[in-house]
Amino acid sequence: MDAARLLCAGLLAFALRRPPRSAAFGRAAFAAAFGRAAFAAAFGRAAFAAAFGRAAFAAAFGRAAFAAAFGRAAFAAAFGRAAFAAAFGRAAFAAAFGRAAFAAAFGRAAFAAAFGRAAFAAAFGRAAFAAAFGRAAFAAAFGRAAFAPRRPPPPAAFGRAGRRSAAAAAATAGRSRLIAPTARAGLKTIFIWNGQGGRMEPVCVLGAGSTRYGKLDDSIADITAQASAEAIGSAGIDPKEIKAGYISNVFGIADKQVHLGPVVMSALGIPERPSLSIESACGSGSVSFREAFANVAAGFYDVVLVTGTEKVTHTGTEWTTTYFSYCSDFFYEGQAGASFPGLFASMARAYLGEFGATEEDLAHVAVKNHENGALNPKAHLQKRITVDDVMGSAVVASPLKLYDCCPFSDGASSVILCSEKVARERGGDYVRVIGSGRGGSPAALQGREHLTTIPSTRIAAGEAYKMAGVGPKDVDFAEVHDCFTIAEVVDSEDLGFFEKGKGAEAAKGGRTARGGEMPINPSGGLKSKGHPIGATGVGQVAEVYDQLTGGAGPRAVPDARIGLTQNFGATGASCAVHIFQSV
Amino acid sequence: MGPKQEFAEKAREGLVLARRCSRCGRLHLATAYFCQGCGSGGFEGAALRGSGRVETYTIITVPPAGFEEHAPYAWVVLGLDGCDLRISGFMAGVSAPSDLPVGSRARVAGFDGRGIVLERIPGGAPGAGP
Repeated sequence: MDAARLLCAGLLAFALRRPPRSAAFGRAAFAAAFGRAAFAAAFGRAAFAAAFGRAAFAAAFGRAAFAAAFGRAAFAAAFGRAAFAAAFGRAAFAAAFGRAAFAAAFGRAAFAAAFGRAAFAAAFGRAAFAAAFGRAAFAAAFGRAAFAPRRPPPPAAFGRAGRRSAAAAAATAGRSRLIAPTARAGLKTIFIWNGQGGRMEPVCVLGAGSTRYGKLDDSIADITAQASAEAIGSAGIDPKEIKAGYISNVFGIADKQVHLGPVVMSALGIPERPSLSIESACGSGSVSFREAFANVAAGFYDVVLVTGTEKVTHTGTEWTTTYFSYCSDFFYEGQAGASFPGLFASMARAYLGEFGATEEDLAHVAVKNHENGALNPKAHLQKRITVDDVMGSAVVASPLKLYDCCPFSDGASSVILCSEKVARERGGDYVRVIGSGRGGSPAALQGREHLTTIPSTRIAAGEAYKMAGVGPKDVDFAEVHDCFTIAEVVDSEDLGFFEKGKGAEAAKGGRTARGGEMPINPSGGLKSKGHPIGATGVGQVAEVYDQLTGGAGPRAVPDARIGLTQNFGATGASCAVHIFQSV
Repeated sequence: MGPKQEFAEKAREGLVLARRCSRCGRLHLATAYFCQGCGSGGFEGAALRGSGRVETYTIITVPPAGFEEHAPYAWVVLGLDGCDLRISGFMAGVSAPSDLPVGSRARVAGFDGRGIVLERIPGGAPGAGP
């Protein structure tokens, strides 16, 4: 043993005196023999990092030494931005990553404190300024001329005129935030913030089309192609300009056709273009729209097709009910005999008990949506009904009756999404997508914290509002997921239009009617327009396109500038919310 | 045997198979693979008494395939005694809301082709304690 120790010491002394540079006595062998500390002492820290990597470097010498050796950028890449801020301070953070990243990391309040309110308004827009600091600060900062009261309730004498100015102010404020100064200065680069500190291409809806909703004779492949062709015509593009297709559908198997993407692309003469077939139960259309939006925003594609489609009525009520029950958390719900009317009826019973609302209150939602749908030539149920009709209709799943339920429908809807650069070049009508949000909920009702709230809607709406820089009061109308009357009531609360427990009362009081303060489902909604489940979310966007480009005819919401869509899957296990602005 | 099968076996004995997170103590139905509170994958088994109080329900008169002969029947959401978990399932013999006031006491009675089967606890008036 003594001889061995002596030999090691001798070698160490030799190595330290004359570090070996050749393979004759390799550094790896040196480190193995004497340890990494001796290695660093012998060859220096740079050689240490080269030999063992930067992670080992940081572990051996600390993060401060790491930053000194490799720079702050490498530091952030290695340990994350949070560690960066902790190590070098927030000012250094802003200098390194920009103010948008600063706001995303520390919040808008910290942003205002660090850079001042003027910078805040420039970055997030005046609407956000007013929301953050109040109306008085707004008036002080921008003058009374810029001040317009946030939405209603307007005095009856002024009707919707008061709304118009508020909406116009919100639209202007939103626009100033959405398009970066470079764009206004005429440069080619335009971008929007995605609410997470990143940059995106602004995305627009360039055209929209739909089949009639109802019982259709044509095959699912045909109706999908028909709606797509109408959207292509509406957008005024050549099909060859479409770079990718997003096709949402749930029960294609019922019409012997799954993998609908390539079938549709082939019918449109662009079989070489990639497509994605998407299923998220009744929320498939909006989820598909979101994926298309994300890809255009990211710059992968400049023009895409989004088509939703469904054909189930030929299977009959019993089998459609059965198929749809497969969208539930089947082990706990469908398997135990819960139909979708039954699941929403359970939410309805909980709601009526908790908030003292009545079945008649819910009936008003159906009456209002049929009133709107009667003006929609593509709606499944184009007829007006009364509260007595609803109350007298057959019970499907107590306390819901037939007229509390949307119909099973066939149908397809389609929109063309593109970058704003493309939309501007065309010079035609288009609508800008200013907010996009997604969320999830426990799949089974029993797992929800509250039985009368849909968490995925709240999460998705929060994201979408944040991205758009607007709030519920800035929205001029909404297309929401009213598969059952109770669903519209819950949606109207989860989206922030009304307080929790007040949605039923609002519907009864006419506040959600087309001429009310917060018009909901001017298309007729799922309840009257119909619910071809894979198409519904895309159909909502088609309605918003029509409304914001002046194509909604007699069911137009007057002076609408900002529209919102909300569409969920199953009992709201998945949800997407989008916000649109007229240009 | 997968967790759903184990769950069904316990339901046949009138029990609800749950799992308690070994890190944070949160209780889940046994069909969970990770803790919803803390993300831990470590659980301890816990078989709960399958009794509780009816929180909401529906009476189904237009049933899916396979349930035609049972209609009308109820599908019930039950808040389990002594914890914040709920369980839902099929309940026979309910044809009008007066048959099952919210708050009624009920329990897990089995598991078969109708999924989790629940039944009212005789004499269990709404509002009565466990």
